[in-house]
Amino acid sequence: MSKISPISRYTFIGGALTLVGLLIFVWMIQIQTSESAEDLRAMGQNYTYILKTIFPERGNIYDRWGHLLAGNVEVYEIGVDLPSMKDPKTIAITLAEVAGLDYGKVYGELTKEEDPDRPRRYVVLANDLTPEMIDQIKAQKEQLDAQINLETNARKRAALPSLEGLLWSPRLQRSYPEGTLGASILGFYSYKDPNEAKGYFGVEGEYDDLLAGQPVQILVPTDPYLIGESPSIPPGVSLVLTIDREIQAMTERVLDEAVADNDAESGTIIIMDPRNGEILAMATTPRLDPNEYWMYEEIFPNPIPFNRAVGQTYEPGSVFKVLTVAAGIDAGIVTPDTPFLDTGVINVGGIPIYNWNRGAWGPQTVTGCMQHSLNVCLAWIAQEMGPTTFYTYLQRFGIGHLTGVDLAGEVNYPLSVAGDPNWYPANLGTNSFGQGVATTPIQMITSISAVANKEGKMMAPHVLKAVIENGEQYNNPPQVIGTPISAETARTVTHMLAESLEGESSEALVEGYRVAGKTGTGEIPGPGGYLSNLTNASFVGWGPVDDPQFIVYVWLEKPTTSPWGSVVAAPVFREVVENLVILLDLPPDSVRQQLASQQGISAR
Amino acid sequence: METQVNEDMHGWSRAVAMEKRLVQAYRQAPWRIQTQRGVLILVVSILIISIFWVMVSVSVQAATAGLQLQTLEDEREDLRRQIAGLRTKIAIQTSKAQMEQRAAALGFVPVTPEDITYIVVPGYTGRTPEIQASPPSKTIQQPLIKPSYTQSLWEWLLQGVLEFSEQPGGMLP
Repeated sequence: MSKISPISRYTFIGGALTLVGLLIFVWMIQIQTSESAEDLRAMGQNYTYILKTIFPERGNIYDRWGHLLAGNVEVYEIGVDLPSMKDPKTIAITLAEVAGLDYGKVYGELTKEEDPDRPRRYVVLANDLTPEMIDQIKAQKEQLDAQINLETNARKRAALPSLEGLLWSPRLQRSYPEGTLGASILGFYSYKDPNEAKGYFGVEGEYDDLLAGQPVQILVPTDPYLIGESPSIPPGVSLVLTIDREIQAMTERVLDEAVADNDAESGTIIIMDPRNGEILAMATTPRLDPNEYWMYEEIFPNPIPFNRAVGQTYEPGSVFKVLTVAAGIDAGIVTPDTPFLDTGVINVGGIPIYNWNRGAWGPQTVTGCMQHSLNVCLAWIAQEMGPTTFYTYLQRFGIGHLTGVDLAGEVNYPLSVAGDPNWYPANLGTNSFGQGVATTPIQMITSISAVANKEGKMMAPHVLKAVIENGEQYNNPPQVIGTPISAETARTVTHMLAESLEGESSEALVEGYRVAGKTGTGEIPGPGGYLSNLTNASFVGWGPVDDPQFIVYVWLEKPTTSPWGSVVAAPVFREVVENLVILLDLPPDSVRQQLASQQGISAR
Repeated sequence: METQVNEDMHGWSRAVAMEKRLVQAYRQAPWRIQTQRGVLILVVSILIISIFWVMVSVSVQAATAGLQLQTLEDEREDLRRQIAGLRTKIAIQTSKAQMEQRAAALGFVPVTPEDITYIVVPGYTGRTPEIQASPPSKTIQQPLIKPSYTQSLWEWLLQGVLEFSEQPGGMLP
């Protein structure tokens, strides 16, 4: 009997194992170098990274004191992964109970017959669920999952209610905490579809690029070995506006009351600091709650502009006389005391021009002309200046040009000057008192701010006070956009218009505060000429006269209680200023002068 | 003659025996050789296993760190969203309309000019806007992860050499 040596047995087993190892090794090399390996590698590459688009957080918008006017809230998109869905009924019931979705719609969507050519994988059911709703859904899902896990019988387990397949993902959605407050200035952001979202009108439209930031596409590795630091995506730039929330609210309240009381078609009020062009408030009607921006077409049927203060031109009427008289005084044609004999009519370019009441006011001074708002007198001043000088001044005041206010949707109406094909010599007369020339309220307040600030400097109107980028604040300095008149002229016109208001015991006078201003009643041109019954009633005023800190422009469109600016617009100005001085901590003139003298004494 | 042969034979066998004894004196015992080989294989195996263990351990740590990084980044995004949402919620709670309602409920009424008394407060220059953010600075943004976590040994050495060479005079401090 032959006996196999143990060494040869071990050698055999060792050799066999080595051979197997070698075979595996060779096989591995063969797989790695085969033709299909390249394809497999290429397929694998598709799963190595996920392309992700990151939308930066949209920048916030604050008022001048730091109150948030536009921010972002966390919302969730909720949808169903159809292949993993087990119980569409429970999903539909849950979403109806928790999120108020329509049961029938949800159930129908989930059980819709599949198109074999276009099989659905994921269905979005809603995209604006609150975190609280998601917490409820999460709790319910956990409870149902626990019940399923406790059940050992497979058949019973399959019959249990389940939220399997229900998925949710968070995102930020634009929100306007103040609702309609300042809506005309803010504009809105169409947030429903994040890929198509865009800022429209106002600040949202004007600074859309800044607020939105730069969306970035990054490749996120699925292989944990490749995961590194993701690029930091800075949020969009935040904006600090010149708007004062309290003043804005007051202005909107006063405007809404004025529009209702006077049964006007619409209204606009702008409050600006004439020293630097900062807009403190801008109210117009109608207004849209930007949280419900989809109501836009309903609230603003064509051709109603979103913000009339910048988006609608109109013939301003006698408020325009401020510019004419300022030009006349600055050009040295007249002074406040220059006498004028009003005969009730003047012929300019072959067209007779009459006063508002078609009366003759006899001997007047230029101050008297402004006090009684005499068209004949202002047409005479323009005639004395001549078209070249008159229109040069109007151009210096920026009439016919955009002001460049940082609100989207500003419009302008070109100014026809001597020599233009659509200019007639009679225009000189009508333009002098604000007819035959169209401007926006923002244009008027900007031009007249050169008079109001007593320096003759026209300041760029703006709502942006500062921007915050990467945690740092950059202030927006005020800009002078022109000096149409001298400081002396500005002071003279201011005092003249304060006297004229006092002289006529205007409804615009504010107790304790000396203000200057001018009413305006502009006729409305229609297809067959001016509409005799309907007017644009305006008032522009500023104060305190010795230290101007505000200028207010009021425009009521087609009031029906009275056509006159002095009757409907002047009281609105007074009410605005009465509230404004409180909000600005502005003491009455006498107190202010007394306090100033006390401070002077204590300083000494 | 025979005696001579016998003596020679005896001498030869003695020499062979001596040689055998010497060989036996210097050759390792078989069990010793086997033990040495076993230990050698064990040491090499331990060395290889150790190297693999270090490699696997480092890889696992790297993967774990990568996953942690991703988790932390997701968490940071969550917190950013929550902060933004809470900021807006605070703004809704302190909105003009809400504050007016609360003020009215507490019995406050809007002030009128007759209610106001103006006084001089030395040093008070009026309401100042809330500072939302600090003024611009020249701070350069630094990456969150230190370079030493991402550098290779070679890069680290090269950087060290470069830093050393950039020191004044290339001298050690």
